[in-house]
Amino acid sequence: MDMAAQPDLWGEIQIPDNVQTPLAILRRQAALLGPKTQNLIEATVDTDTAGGQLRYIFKLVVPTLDNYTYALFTVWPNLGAELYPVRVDYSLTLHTPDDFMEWLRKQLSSPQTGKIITNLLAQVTS
Amino acid sequence: MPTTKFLFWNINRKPLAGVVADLAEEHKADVIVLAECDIDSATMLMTLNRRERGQFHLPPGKNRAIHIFTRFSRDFLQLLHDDNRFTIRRSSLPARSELLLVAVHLRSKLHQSDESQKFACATLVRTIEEKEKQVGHRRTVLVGDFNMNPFESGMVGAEGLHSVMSRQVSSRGSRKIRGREYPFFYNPMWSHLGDARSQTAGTYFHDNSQHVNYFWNTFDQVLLRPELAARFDPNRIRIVTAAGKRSLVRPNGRPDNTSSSDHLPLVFELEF
Repeated sequence: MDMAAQPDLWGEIQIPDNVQTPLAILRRQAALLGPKTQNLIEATVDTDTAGGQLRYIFKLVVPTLDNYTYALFTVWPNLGAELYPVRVDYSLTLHTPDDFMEWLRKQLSSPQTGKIITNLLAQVTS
Repeated sequence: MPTTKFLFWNINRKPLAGVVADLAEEHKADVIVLAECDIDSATMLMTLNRRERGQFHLPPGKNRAIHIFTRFSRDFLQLLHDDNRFTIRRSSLPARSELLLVAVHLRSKLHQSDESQKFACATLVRTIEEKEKQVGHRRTVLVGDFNMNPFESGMVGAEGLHSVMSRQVSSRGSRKIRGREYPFFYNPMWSHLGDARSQTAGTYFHDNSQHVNYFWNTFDQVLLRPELAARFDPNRIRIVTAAGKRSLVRPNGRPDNTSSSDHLPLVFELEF
């Protein structure tokens, strides 16, 4: 049987447009840090797999300190039929984009993150 | 095709961060390459970003002799090779052809014989060819302070950089000598020897009591593989003599090495 005779069983596949995936949200936030620090500290999101699971690692990078890297947190995305829930901090599960945004806001604006950034800035400008 | 602007300057270990930032702004440089830069990277970055936050980035690299800053995200200038005297970066900008940027600062004639300079060029070109093979293309640009004039053997010789003064000649791609293929570079700096344009007859002035003295030297050069030379306009490379209202030369056209550097900056544009 040639390929032309095969029925297409896939149904309609929609290519998503402007979907706020957790990765897109993380990357957008990462891009905002550099301009706030004159690019003395930049943020990146690395993707890798550990134990067969995909994960996003949100990192601070200090280019002028030989690219010293500080991993701020890790997000495990949901790769099934739905984009959410995502798992963060090993145990916390966030079920909606709003929950994720709120958690991310708390992480990025926390006194702890602020202190890390301030200390890194002090290292490079001293 | 999009254009990218480059600024190269050997700043002679002077505190010229502000002047570099002025030049970057004036010429809208996308990539800045500095040699003999003792300014720490953080200070340079802050000065470059003083007017518009986050404009310039410091891409990865550990080379202490050559400093590179770019308006492009640091991820787009990947480090391929770092050496004491040169660094090779792979530029992979979205929707653009890839490019190899080789930034060099070869040793001075004060510390190295002409013969040693030739061998240094042979080592440099071998490394470039390895990296070109690795990335699978020859869209390579070399920029820097070669401490040699365009006509010296290390720059011209087939075992050296094999750089010629004519795009038409370099468009042959390579030439064969006794069965071995030697790829060309095009060196537009041949057109910047002498005082046809102004009193500034090169990028570096040196007077001495030797019988042979060129006085003016064009040590700071840009070399292009034929793949890039084909779309290169030689009028789009300039030896810069002023940063805004601040002159970088004395009234006699020589670099003002008291308030500025003993070398003059180069700016050029590439299409890729």
